[in-house]
Amino acid sequence: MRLGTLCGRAVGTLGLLGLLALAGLVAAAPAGTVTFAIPSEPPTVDPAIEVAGPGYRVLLQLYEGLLEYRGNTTELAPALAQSWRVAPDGTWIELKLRPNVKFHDGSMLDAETVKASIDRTKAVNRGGAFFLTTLKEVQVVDPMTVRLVASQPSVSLLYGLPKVFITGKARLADADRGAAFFATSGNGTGPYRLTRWEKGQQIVLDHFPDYWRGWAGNHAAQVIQRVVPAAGTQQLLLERGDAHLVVLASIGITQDPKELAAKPGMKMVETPAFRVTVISMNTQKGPLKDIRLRKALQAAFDYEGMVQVYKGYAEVPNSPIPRGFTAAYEASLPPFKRDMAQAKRLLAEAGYQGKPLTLSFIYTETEPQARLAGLLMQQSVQELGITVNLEGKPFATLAAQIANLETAPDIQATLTMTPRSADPGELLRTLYLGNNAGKSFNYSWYASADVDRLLAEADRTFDDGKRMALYREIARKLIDDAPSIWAAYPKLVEVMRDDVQGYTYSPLNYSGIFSFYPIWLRH
Amino acid sequence: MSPAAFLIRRLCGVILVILGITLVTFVTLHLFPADPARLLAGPGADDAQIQAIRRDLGVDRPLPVQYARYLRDLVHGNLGRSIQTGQPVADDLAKRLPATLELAMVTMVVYVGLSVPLGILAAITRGRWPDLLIRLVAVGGLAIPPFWLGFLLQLVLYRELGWLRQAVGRIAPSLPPPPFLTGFYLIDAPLGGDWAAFGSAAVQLVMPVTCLVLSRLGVGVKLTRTSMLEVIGSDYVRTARAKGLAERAVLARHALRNALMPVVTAFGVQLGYLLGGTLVVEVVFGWPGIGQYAIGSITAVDFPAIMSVTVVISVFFVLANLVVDVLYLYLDPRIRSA
Repeated sequence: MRLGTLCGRAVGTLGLLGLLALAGLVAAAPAGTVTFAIPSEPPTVDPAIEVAGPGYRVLLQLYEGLLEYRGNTTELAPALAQSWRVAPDGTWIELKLRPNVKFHDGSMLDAETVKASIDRTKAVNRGGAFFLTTLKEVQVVDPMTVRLVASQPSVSLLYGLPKVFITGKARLADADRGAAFFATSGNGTGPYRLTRWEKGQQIVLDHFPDYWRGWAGNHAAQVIQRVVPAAGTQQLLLERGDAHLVVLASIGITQDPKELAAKPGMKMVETPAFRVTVISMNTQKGPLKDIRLRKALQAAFDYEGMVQVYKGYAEVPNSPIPRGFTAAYEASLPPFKRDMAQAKRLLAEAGYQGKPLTLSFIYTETEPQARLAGLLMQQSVQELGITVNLEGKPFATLAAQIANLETAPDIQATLTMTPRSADPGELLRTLYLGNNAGKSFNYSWYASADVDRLLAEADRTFDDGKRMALYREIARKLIDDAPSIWAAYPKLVEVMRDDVQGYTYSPLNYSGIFSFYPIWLRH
Repeated sequence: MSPAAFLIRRLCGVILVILGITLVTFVTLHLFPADPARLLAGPGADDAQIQAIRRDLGVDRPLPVQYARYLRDLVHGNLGRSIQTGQPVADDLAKRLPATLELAMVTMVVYVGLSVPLGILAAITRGRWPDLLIRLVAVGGLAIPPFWLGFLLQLVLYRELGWLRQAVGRIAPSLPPPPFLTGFYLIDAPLGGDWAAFGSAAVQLVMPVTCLVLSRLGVGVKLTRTSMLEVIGSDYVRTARAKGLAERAVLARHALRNALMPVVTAFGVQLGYLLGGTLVVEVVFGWPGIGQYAIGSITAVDFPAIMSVTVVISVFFVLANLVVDVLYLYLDPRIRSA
């Protein structure tokens, strides 16, 4: 009896302790400050303007879209909208908004706010508007439902929604539509608020207590993005523990991240990314107009050498579509490989056997891998008697030179391409749509009526299976037309302090851009 | 010529020089084969978007019209709106300029404070060990590139020895910057009674100032030494000595004032260079000055921002030279009477 009572009490006590522990866990307050050393501060944090780069690093913490990508997949998931449906003919998307979502200024999310915010993004007509090109109108169906009416059925509109951030409407009525306010401040629904921006020094983000997902579990109370321009100094801060995370552009290019990660208190996170390194060949001017020459360069290129350019953190590609797009990616295609016999044969067919050939190759001088790709190209084609003249340029000059066919070079090493949408159509349109020839990133001046038609058809096709089949067809067509050398699938490598927990790779963002909500520090 | 007439003449010259600088910078920038509208629009933009941005920026107008507008705005103190940040450039610069000025001023004080005495010491101990040691340190500093020196200081003082707790920034990240009065933390912090911020701001200056001073010390020391040696060997100093004056009085009253003439000129020029030359040091030490702002502006082909940074640096350069001219009036009676 006594024993039974004791056992009962013990069980009761343990249960109580368990409940208390659980309650403690649920009620755990966010704690600690995560410091992130960033190479440059954003010129603006206006969500209608920034869709990539340093501004996006801040925006991802302050704002949310109506939809988001689930974890590290390309699957759409509810965010500020809790559900959505697409019209049978694809001409509108109706989204039911999540109730009880607060903006940082205390106002509540509703359909009028969503309309005002998207209208502003469209009117500003900069970065964010890129995803809204087919949007005709935002209709308020009821206080918590909006309908996005498109000018044509458009998959790109749906898949762009995670990148169209929703702002509170308080400042949207300002004479400048909130331009001055949003450039340096924020009013979103995201987990962190922008509390202090010491220009050129640091951006301080504090957790937003009323965040709709709540703060159960482990989270950081504060995130500091500290401007540390010099890569060497960033590394020193990381080694001393004054920074928990860094954006080291050189990692995986000029320095093996393993060396840095081997130092005490560090760790390395390596993830296959949705990226492809593209070397564009001019399809409309000069000797490379001849497809046989383009194919000869493709065959001569040293793909294994390119993997070494990335210090081994890359794979040899087999398609213009990055491997991360599992549904559109065709694993059965053979990987590209160096075949000098084939290259020589194609060169002879094009009438260049024993004939001198000089090609111009320009690259962005701030991108070390682009220069190394150029050097590799020089070496790769030396045996064929082809001379490649390399020239590094600032991005602004390079873009202007390529935009004009008269001045466009024979070859250009595009930056590593990271898609901006979870639908591969965005990447393919950016690189190969005829209308984008010379601009966007269609630096090959590629224009194919077939590919344009297939891309347009894919954007109208909401059936995933059919759309992916179209993308696979486009990829095969591109391989046949050879507008580019798809040089590598680079991985994403981050080096951080080993007390950083919860880091989640964000496949559709550039290196060093991710949400801080799941991140916390182990003490 | 009276000092007032001298000043007016010099000021007119200053205005003409600045006007010339704006013209050259404006034309050069617009000849640069880059399109800020295209950069601003981003890679996904179509031609209509790019054209709309060109109109907004006013870069679709003929060049002379753009320049005339620029000058009109400049006279009214309007430096334009930054293409990158969308903010008035004057606001951006107001936040950045004090950081660079504070760094340059403190560097100048330490630089002059070390160069002159060390130069004199080297001159009067010519050929002996203090002279050799001073020259070795001074020339050594000149020979080391500032970015390398900066990194070396961080490596030793921050990482290895841990004497300095922060490697970058104007103030420790845990402290809020002092409320903006002059933008100089060393002035604003004590005025606001925030001694912790003052201490932190002073400590944060140690590495960048050391780096800038060491990389210039050689010039100041060698100039002072050479000038001093020249004067010490002159007839009037020999005469002063022959009159039986004490060596200290000979040096202080007769030699130093004359020896300082070329040194002052050099310091004026150095101050001008310093404003534009803190760039590398600003990058290494994450110093939020106009150097860093200039780099960002150049990368983004931000015409209004590049123009303004160039004009501001030029104005300071020209003004520094004007100050030197005024100092001449005081130091050299021949100019006053000329």
